[in-house]
Amino acid sequence: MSLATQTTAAVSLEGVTKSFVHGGRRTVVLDGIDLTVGRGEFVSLLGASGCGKSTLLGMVAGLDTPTSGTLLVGGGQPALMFQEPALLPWLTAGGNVDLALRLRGIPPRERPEQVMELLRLVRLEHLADRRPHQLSGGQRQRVAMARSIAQGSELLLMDEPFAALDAITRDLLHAELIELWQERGIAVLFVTHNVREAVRLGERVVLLSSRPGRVVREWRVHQTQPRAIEDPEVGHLATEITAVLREQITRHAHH
Amino acid sequence: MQALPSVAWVPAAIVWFQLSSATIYAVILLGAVPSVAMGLISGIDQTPPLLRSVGRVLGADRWQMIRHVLLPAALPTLIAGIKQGWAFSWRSLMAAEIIVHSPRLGTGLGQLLNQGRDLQDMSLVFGSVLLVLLVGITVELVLFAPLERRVLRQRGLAPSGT
Repeated sequence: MSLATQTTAAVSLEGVTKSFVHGGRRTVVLDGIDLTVGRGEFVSLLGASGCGKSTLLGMVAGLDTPTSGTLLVGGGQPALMFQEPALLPWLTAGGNVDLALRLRGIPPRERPEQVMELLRLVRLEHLADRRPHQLSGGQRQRVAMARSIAQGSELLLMDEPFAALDAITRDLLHAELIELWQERGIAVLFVTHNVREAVRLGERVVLLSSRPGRVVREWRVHQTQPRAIEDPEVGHLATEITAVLREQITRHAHH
Repeated sequence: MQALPSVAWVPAAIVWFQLSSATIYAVILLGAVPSVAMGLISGIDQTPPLLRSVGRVLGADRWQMIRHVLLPAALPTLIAGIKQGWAFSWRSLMAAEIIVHSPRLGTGLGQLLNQGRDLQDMSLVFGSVLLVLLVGITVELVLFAPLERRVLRQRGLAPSGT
């Protein structure tokens, strides 16, 4: 395994394999993953539950290391958003965003203004003093999004961040995420098991198989943003991808 | 360590510090330290792994992780530990004052109790018992209860009845 930070892409994986030894048995979770996310690119990573998507993001985020293969991350520590908002419950919404700036080394004088600007990006400037338990699920995930942006990273990793939200809130957050992505020029690697969501958001959709996770196929989404989840183009491509995904899951089930 | 009543340290403390205030302080400290340490350790152990991951993703180094994630996460259990430590210390202090008496130790509620016994003065004994109870309840209600309530409320946790 080798790690380096010199790359022109936001992140590139070459033959990345991850296996765990459990009870004396070796389980291969990810098998020879080749994947590149260009600078400023939005890639959706799609797969059924248990295909190792989260493991893959964890490795890119530096929380875990590959068993073999090459993983190159350009532009420092990537930001990572989890399925849960994972806000620190003792800090206010503003405090959570502030901590990201503080750990990045932003001087105290400049932080309050930046906190408000980041909260404005996610339309929460009026709730800066609220604690996480006083916010709705969608608002919490927005704070988490502002905190991720506060890291100033060129790469944002997202691990099914909207899976626990209702459809309408999710729809709103999709639009806000796309806006942020276009405005900030960051690269996004978005993990989901929701085919429509993958197509709605990504410029490319990469499909992973289950156990072991391998890249099965990838699709380019030609329609430009902003697009909506109910657009016919999104629907067509989603139908096509779902067919391949279903085939994958059935094949896996017969093993 | 918590299984050992700290009054058991009184003879050792007298040997080490003679009949001085240090003896009493040592017994109080030995009563409180295990509870406080347990509170801190279990609070850190119970920190959700997800919050540790957040710290790492935000780029926290070892010290920043302790300062910004682990210590605040452990605060409620730490306070519970300090509260228990106080209760143990208070008991130990009374016991120590009844066991050890010397003009060099000044006056305390324990001494007052003892004096009541020596003088066969029942009103002094009961007056002292009431005072001991009052101090205990006051510290609990004035110091710990509001502090615990505040910390738990802040996190959206409902304080249990005290």
